[in-house]
Amino acid sequence: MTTQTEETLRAVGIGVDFAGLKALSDVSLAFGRGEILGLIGPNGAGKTTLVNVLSGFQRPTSGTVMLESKDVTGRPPHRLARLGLGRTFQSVRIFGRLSVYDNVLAGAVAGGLKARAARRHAWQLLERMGLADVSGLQGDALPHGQERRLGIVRALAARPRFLLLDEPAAGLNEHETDVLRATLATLPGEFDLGLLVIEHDMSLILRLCDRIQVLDYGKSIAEGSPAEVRRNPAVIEAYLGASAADHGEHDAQG
Amino acid sequence: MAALESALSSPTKRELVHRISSLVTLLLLVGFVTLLGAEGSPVLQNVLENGLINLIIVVGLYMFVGNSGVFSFGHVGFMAVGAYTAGLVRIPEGTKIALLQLPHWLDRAHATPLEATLLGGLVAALVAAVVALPIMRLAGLTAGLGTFAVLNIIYVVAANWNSFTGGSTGMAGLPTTAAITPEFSWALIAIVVAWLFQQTRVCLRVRASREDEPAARALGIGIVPDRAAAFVLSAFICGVGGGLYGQLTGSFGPDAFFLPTTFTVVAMLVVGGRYSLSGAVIGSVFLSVISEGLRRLEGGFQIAGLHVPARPGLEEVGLAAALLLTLLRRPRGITGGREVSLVDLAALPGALRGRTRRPE
Repeated sequence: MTTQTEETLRAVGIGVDFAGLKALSDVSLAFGRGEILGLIGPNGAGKTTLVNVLSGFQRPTSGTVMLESKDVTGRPPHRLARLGLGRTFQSVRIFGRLSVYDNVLAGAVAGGLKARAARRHAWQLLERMGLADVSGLQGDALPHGQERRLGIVRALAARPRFLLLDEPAAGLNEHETDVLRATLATLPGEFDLGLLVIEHDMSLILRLCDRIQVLDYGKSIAEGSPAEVRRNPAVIEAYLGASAADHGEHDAQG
Repeated sequence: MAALESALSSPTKRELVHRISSLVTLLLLVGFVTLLGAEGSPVLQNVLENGLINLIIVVGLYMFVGNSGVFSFGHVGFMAVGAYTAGLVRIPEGTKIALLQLPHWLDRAHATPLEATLLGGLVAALVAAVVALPIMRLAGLTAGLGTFAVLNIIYVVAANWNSFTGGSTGMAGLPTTAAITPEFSWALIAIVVAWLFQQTRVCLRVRASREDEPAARALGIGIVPDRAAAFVLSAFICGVGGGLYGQLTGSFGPDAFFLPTTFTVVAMLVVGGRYSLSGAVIGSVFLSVISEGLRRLEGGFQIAGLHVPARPGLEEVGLAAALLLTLLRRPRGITGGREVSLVDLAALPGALRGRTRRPE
């Protein structure tokens, strides 16, 4: 194990049944502070369900979630957030009628900072993440790229030790994705947090992550370094179908 | 250090200036309207006093509805609690013994007008704290229906608890004064309290929850406790308004705090714009003026030698029409959910000419 138990978010043997349908079965996952773990898999593989379990939005049918060696299985989202677990959403869920600044301030306040410290923290983050210019706009007035960025900044404002990003690059163009990747790469070191990234953009995942875990049909089918994962026949098959596995040495991007 | 300096300069500071100028604008507006009305006939003064009480109720309602986004049809019930509480400590002992069957200590209870108003607010807040626990767990339309149930419970209790409330005949004998000072002062206080609350972290969390509950929870916001705090504080303001109402009219029954009043204050808030304090204040001033105008027309009038007969109910119909028109044409109300200030109004002609705003 590359990570120490006391600085790790760990899920062990997670199973989730939706009315008899197994969304996840016996999935285990762990990542530590300072690390970036990529979570990939075809549509419907159970990635978001797993993030929902980790962040308390979905109670697992079986298994345990350990946050820095504390059993937090089944705790509600806001309690987990206060223990240092942050997340973003595929659909971003910006506070549309609050200003960009208030969006981030809400994160800082929810993270337990006093008023003055929260204001300073929010403003520093907006400057650092390049949203200071638009801080006075209403959340719903932002273009898509900045809206997604705001979702991440707002989550950071609550000072998480583990941050789960659900498709942060969805809908971004190539340039925006590059900028995002550069930003995400600095987060673990700068904010001393562990990062879990769900993403369909394979080039982003391969270049960004320290390790990658692959889900398919609710099961974990592979885990390892980007280089290992892109050569893994099971992964290639899951993504491209059995016929493509023969040409696996070319590129997992397809 | 550079970050700190900029934190003290641009947007946050500009925002604070805007918020303060907005508060001053609202206080000036209420002061101006009061000054106009106070010069008028005794009838007009009475209208003004009732209008100020309506404003207090609407501001109280706004503190919960506007910030949380959860609609409440129950706040007039808190107004009732305030009024009855004020009655219990303001009606002279002899009158109380004659009209009600109270425990001995309540017969003897007596308070000054200010104390009675405050006590009305406190008891209303207490009742709100009790009902907040179940109600705040509901969301959306369900929560709105829950608050409606609260209104009904309070109404039924007020109409039937004969020994305490006087039942369907209600209370009478509260000493009244002609001075407009209490209503005016409390209207200003209500606006300032609502404004101050808006600057707190609790209120920011409540507003964030209004915009998106899952996102708020993911940040660590528990929703129920913060929302309950807003509910209790807003009930306090409505209780104060009720206490003032009781002491203005001197006598009242349960019907004063039921559907027509609920409709009036809800219409005022929605027409003004329920997502801003400016909306609450402007809506209540605007509709108070309109409904007073319509009330005068209700009795029938002469126009160009033509006699228009009495049209009872014109006021209610007018309010309903204003509400419908708002919902159809401008769902966020007159203010559109923004805080209005004189500084903005001064900049308005330029903004309209230049069309510098980004399209929505």
